[in-house]
Amino acid sequence: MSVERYIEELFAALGSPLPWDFDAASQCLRAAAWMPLSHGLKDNVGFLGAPEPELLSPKRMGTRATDARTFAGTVDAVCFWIGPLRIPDRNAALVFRAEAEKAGTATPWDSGGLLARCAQHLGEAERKSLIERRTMSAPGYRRALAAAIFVRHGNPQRYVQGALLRATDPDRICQGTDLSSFTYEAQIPGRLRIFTDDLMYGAAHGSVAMNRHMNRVRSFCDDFDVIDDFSEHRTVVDAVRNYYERKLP
Amino acid sequence: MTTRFDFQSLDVVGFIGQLDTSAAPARLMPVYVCSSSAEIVLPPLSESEGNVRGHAAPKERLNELVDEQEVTCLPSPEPAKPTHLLWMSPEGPRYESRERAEEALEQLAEDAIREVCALGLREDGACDLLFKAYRVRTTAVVCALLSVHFQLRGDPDQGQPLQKDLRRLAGKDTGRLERRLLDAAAPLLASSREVAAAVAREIRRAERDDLAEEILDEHVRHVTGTASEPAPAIGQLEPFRSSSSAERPVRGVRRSRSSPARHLPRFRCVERRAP
Repeated sequence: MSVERYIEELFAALGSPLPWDFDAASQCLRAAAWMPLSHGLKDNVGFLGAPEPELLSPKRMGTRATDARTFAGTVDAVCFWIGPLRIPDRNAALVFRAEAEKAGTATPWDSGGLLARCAQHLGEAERKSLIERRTMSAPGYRRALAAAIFVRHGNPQRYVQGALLRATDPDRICQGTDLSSFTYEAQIPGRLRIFTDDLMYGAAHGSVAMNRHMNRVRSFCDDFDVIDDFSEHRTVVDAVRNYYERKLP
Repeated sequence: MTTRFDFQSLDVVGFIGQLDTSAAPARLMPVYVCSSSAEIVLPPLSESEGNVRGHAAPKERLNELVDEQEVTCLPSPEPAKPTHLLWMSPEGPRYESRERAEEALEQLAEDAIREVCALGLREDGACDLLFKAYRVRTTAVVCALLSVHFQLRGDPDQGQPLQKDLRRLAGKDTGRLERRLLDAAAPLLASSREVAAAVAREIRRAERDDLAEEILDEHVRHVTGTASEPAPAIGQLEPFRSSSSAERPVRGVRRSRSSPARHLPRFRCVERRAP
């Protein structure tokens, strides 16, 4: 669907217009254009040992796609949070520049979450059609992201922290208790190479995910946090969020 | 927003991620299920006075997380207990008292270092063994050995993250494991003065001069006339070329003709005496 249409619906859902704040609006536009893509790693990262390691969609990996991905139609996509990770915790995570998305698409929420968690006021077919309707092309969707940050969070810091000012949402998906319900999701078709200039940051639990493969990533990516007894952060999720907070333009 | 749960109402049902025994040893992030509130408790977790704090989610979310490969379930749930640790042993996940788990983990780290001693620091297999020890706890000894391993392999770029770790450890109490690992590494350090000097130099990055001096005293300065000489630099060592020219296992302490030692100043050895 068109980005403009979504923005119109988002502002219409506000009811009464917001007092216009040009500084905040320009800050939101800048941050939305910059907002990197984060991806949590689940296993013991053996795939990083390949000569040219890539993040692969379940289809390209030849693994069973989850029900959530099948429902959302993202079986042949690598999915990212556009912002920090919005999951309990992960053993490791990688963060990529916005430019990495190139031919990707995005939705204003975790698309797989609509299977069983979000928008349950709608029937299954309606939820599927909502995903189709709200799937926007990259990088144009970043204007919608800027509008969502402005309307719901007031400033980019609050978006990164997952703090809502108002749960304005034309789709009635956004809930303060579920960060995945208002964090944008990027879907990159097929695969994404890891060792490129787009890799900005990584974090890994030292006691779980450190091995020769992860060390290779560390030697490639200068900005990398190991989470252990001596690190500033307790979790990968905290470390990634802190990275976004530090780097926000 | 986190919620507090009494341990008595919790069972450990799984852990975060998709790890198997190939990742052992690893400390796992447990996922609990609460019998009284039909909720699951997710990391980050904190424990105090018989309670655990974590993110609560509806119990139905567990199946979703398993399906999304975010969580792996244990073969059977275990009653949750305070001061217990869930970890991946070479045989599979184990949930036991922290004290017992830490001892088993430290033993695995020590065993890994001993295997490196038998194998030789330059060998490719040493890398995985050293990272096993790294996962038990970040220690200056293991980071230094890894850094020197990569230098011996002619791949100093891979050593840079470990050097960062060493600087990160400066001024931190890394605990009793350092001493245990240093003792386990003694045959390796005794096998080559150059390696011992390089390990000592790496350890200094962590401001562990006590350990560095001990290595130099034990394995480098036992040679007469060297106390005031600079320690041999690992940069003078020949980089790894092939498995045939790889560092020999430490037993026997013989050096091949291509040994880096022949590029270094000649030292006169004195007999080592037991303390």
